[in-house]
Amino acid sequence: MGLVNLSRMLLFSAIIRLFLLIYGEWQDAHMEVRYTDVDYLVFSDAAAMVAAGRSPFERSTYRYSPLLAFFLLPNCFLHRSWGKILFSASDLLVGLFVYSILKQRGVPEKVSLWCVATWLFNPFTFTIGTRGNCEPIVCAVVLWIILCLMNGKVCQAAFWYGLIVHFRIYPIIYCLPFVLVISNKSVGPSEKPILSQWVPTHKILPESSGSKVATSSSIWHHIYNSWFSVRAIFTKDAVLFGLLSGSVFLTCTAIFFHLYGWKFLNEALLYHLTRTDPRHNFSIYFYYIYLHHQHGFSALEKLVSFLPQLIVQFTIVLQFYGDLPFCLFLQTVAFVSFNKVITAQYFVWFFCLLPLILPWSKMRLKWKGFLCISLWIGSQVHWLMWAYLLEFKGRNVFLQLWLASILFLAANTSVLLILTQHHVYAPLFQPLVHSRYENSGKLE
Amino acid sequence: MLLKFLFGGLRPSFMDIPHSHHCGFRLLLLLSILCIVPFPSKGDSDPLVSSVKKKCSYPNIIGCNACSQDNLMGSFFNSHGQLSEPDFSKFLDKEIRSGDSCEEMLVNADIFGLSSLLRELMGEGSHRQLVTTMVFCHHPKFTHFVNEHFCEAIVIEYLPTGVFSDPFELQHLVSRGVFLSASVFGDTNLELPSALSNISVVEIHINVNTDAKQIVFQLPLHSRYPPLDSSGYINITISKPHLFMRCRPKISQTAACSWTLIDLGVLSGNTVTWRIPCGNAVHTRAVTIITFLSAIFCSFFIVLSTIYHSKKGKSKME
Repeated sequence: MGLVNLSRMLLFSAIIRLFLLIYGEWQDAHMEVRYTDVDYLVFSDAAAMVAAGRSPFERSTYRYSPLLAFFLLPNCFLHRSWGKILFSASDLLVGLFVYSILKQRGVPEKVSLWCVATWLFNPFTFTIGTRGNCEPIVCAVVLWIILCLMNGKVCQAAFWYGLIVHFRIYPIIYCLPFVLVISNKSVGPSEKPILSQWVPTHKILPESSGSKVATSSSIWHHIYNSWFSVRAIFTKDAVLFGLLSGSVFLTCTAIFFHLYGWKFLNEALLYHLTRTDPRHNFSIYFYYIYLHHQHGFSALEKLVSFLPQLIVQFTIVLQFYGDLPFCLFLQTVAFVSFNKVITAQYFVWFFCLLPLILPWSKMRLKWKGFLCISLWIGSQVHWLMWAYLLEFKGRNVFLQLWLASILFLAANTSVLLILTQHHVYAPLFQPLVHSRYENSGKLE
Repeated sequence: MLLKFLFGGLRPSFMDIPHSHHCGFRLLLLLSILCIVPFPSKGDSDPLVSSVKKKCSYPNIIGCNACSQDNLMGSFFNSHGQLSEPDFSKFLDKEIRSGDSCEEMLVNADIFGLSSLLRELMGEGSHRQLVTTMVFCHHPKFTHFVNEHFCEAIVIEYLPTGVFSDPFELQHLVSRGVFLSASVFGDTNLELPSALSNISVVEIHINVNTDAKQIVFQLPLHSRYPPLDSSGYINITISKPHLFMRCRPKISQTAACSWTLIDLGVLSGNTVTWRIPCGNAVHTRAVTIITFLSAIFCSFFIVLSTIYHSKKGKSKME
């Protein structure tokens, strides 16, 4: 019965996406403003280059792995919408993976379906695939890696991880939590780790009435403990994961370097690592970069702008790696928020992880959830208003736009803090020390 | 500068004014011409000028060349690498004046005189349309000639560092049949700010219809981020384009094409100015401090709450 519901949901989502695909074709042909994303035209042109036996990097602004151009080869000889179908299919696959992850973690059917719906029926996600954005592929692979890890398939996880880091570099931020969770998992009799099971959040004991502010000594004690667990990183599985994913990444990079030379390394890899954009984007750094672009940046400036990003990433990983999906979600939100360049497509990176943490949140939609959504959307709309005045009305509102980016960072931070505050810490795997929920969570 | 160089050898338009024996009238004419030459923007609206019989712009360079040459600037950039005024002028002389296999067409080159040039920048903000209207003089042989020839107008626009034309967007317009062909040369990087970019040249080919009294086209342009300036805005001026008419007889497939460079220099044409907002260097200090403080402040909050809540969560699980 449950499966029928999921299939119906997927079928309905597929119909929505198919409709949008056809509508997009119509709009492209008949209207001045295209439905299709500009990047999709770049991918398609690059695929056409590959089909003609040339380098995809001959298409300027193609800054992706050549794999993407290979995937889109049927665009040239089958249909130009092939890529969009591929991306939308991955988008549906994300829905399926969300469902299986939640099922395996013991979340009841109804809750799981609601969570799947937050991905499948999120207007942001279904337009991004049908407009021809490749992010759904990355999302699907990231979720698949989580599934592999949950089922103890370390080698497979490593293969996909190496591949996806080559494909789109940002998942590199997940390497530490992956390795930590592999080395700390308890392995069951069948080499399959034991997953801890979901417990309704209202059954969790109310917060202790003790001191709410952690004293500095306990924080240091905690950091010391976390560091201790990092030292235990070199288990057989963790080393295997590191070596295997590293070699897949290096092999892919070496093959394409051999085929396309420095152009590939510069455009697909180094560009993303050193990217700074003086043009307006959601990042707080854009105006700073614009004001300094004529002089370049000193090593100290680069370091100072990198530091908040680095500290936040490390803290989140050390504190939450056990609750892997939540850790990845926080990491991604923080990574995007503190990045030097932020575009709207990056939001999909954490949208795909959001359904994985919702069942463990004590937050109700009425009214805290609603507050979070309006805070996030509101600050974005506010930013977009100034950006519209600058870009489409030619008004000098650089200062206002930059302040709006700071407000957006503040909104991101607040939402992150509220989510953390309402999240019930739930390790992915059963801790080696027996938990008191060991037997109570079997809901299936 | 390029225009000046090219049109240096131009026959002055007052040479064509019919001689009048009335001294006062001649003086008046001379005075009015003296006024027009330094300030061409006064232009057509001046009743004295419109009373002058010859108000058409005339071809400056005419010659023959192979029709197979798809784009003029392409072959120029292939051989020279970058745009330089003397080189381009020599190139035109060599490429266009050299041929002589289409003399009968060259006789008719005068029919492409233009009476006016109107340039307008449509829209606001960073993405605009440069609308150019070129009106032909009503030469009696015009319709007959265009009926018997395939004619296309080749427009070459010189874009300063502050603006650019997206070659891929132009290709989209070509595929929709707006232009016969379009290409961009020089700095085609679409992402760099003005301070780090170079000028570019756009060449577009437009079909000239039999019933065409004028050529109207829209060129989509985008502004780059300009260098910093304390006034808050920077003005970018786009100079007049070059216009060539290229024709080939409809009856013959192999004949050479006649090339005519229409002189737009004498036409009054409003220079196009684009006002682009720019960053103010005065903000640098405040923006730097507040940007980094807010990043540090937000990261501090995240770190604190992360440590506090995970500790609570974990201790509850144990």
